[in-house]
Amino acid sequence: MNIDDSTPPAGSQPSDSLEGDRVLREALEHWEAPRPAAGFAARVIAEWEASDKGRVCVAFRSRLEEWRSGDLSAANAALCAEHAASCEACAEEVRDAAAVERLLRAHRAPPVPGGLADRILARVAPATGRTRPRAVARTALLAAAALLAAIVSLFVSSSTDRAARDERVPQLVRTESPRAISPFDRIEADRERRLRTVLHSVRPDATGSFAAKSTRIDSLSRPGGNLFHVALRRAKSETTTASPSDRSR
Amino acid sequence: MVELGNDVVARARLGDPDAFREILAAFERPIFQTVYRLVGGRFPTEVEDITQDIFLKVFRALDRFEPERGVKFSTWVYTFVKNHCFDVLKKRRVATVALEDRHPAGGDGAADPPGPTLSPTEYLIGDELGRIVSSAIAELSDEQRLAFVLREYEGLDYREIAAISNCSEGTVKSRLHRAKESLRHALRTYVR
Repeated sequence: MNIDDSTPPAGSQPSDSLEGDRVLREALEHWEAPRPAAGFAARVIAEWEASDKGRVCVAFRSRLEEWRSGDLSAANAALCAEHAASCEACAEEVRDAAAVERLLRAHRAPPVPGGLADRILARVAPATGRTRPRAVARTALLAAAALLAAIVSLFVSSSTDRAARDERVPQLVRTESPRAISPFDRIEADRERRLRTVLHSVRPDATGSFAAKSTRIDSLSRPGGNLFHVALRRAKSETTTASPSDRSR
Repeated sequence: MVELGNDVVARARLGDPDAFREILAAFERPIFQTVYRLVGGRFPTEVEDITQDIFLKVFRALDRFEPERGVKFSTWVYTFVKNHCFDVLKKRRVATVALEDRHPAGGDGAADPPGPTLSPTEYLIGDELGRIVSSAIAELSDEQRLAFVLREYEGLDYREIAAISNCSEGTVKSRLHRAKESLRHALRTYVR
């Protein structure tokens, strides 16, 4: 394009441009002038709502979803149906509600990502693995309780027969599985057996009460201390202070 | 909603992996999609993680499920969904999702490719409408959204929703109607 062709005649351009601006400004002013004052729409709506028909429409629209969901009583539902049939604005509201419902129902959530179940299962294994230690702990507790019961029953026995008593300690070890008895329990059982052997050598006629006292002696002895010396001392003192009738039992 | 027998729950309590699979097969889709509708509007990239966390909570708490009280297993599971999603929404009111996380190339956040029955234009219009609907649902209050999603998308009855929401049936109905009214006002211009 020749630059001279696009150049307007000298003198005409500024005045035309100014004239155009003026017309546009006036048009804009003219266009803005008829705009309603702030709150105009609100006033119209308020006036309509205050009218008899408006009140019915407002009530209808506030119950519209209940009516469409079937949650209104039969009488109120009949009133709503009657109003929707006679009021075009409210009928349009009903049509909008139905169209929005169709749009919402068509809205699909994304499909489940592939492998989600496997990823959850992979996390489930360690999460639920806690049940295993609990089960082991329960078994160990039961075994310890059984062992304790066996020891208690052994010591409160009133039998004075040495052979029978000697028989019980090996039974204690035989009847429990090796896994159920901890090394500590085994040492304890061995100490008890040796203690009872020593005590019985001092007092072959030991009774049930004496056996119970020997248990207390054992509890008094320090770990790794002079268990047998304490037991012997206590047994000897029992021997010297025991009454002849007690001995003859 | 598929309702599982109590025997499946009993086997899951004993650690039977097949029972876990049965529970996942029955609840994987409804739970994932419910989570998407409850929190996906704000945390679209975290829907799967949240779903996983919910299932882990359910499996860990199986010992506490008491069918003899008359509670359905599905209702019990949805209670976990509601509690966990509300916790997420409460703790992270302001979502801070990086743009590259929102639309990773070929990642989970990328839009699904158009299906064979839709033209690209139809797909774009549908996708845009989907975003608008998601946004409108996200604008509801948490309680209204829960009632709306459980009723309209999962088909639960008022009684179940009331048990999950820990409120009366009347309150559920009221929340549901207000939710629908809000959605009608927000979306009516797109359906005319």
